[in-house]
Amino acid sequence: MSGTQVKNNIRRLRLLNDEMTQAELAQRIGVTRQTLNAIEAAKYSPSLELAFKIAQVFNQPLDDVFSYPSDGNGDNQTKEF
Amino acid sequence: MSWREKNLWCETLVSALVSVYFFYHSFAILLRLDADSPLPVRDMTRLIVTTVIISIILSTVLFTLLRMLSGDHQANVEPSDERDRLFELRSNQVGYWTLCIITAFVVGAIVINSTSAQSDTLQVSLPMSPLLIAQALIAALTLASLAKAISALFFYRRGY
Repeated sequence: MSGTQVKNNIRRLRLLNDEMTQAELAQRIGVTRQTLNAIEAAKYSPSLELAFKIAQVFNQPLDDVFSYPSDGNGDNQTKEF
Repeated sequence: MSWREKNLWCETLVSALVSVYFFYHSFAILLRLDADSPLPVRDMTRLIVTTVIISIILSTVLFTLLRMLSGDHQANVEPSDERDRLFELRSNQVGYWTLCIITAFVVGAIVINSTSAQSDTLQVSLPMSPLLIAQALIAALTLASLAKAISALFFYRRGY
């Protein structure tokens, strides 16, 4: 059973940003590495504030980092904003 | 496993061991009592003092071991974040409901006991002394605390 339907591209963005480690990103956004790991594995939905912080680190809009299925059933189709 | 989680394991272990020791001995003392015997204040006081001393020794040993095995303590300790606070709130809720349910049972037992004493039709006889009721309430508090710690560990293991 997964924790959340919110999908994310954090892992891909980390790798694109000089292979940033989870520990480094966690330190920059002010959470523990375990929390970042849970977010990345889509087990935990971050607060809106934390989501914005993550997007800011990668210098990307929020919906390039996080997405949500449009029908709410966990399909891969994501809602376009 | 994070430092916070290891800390929780230690806390849970100390609570569980101390609770088992205390309640095993206290209920043994109370169940030996007859209806007319005086309250065993001296025995209970001795038991409480012993339990506190055991609790302090056990905590000291366990947390010292944890610190020794964890290496650089300062590097391991991380400030709590929103997920930690969420888990704390959820586990507090579990502890609260555990306390409510057990307390409701204790109150129910007291009411049934006092009603049956005055009723011809309802004949339920529970061995209720004030000290036994106090023990049951302490047990409720301890179980609520254990439920809180175990649920926090469950949330940390599950990850969300």
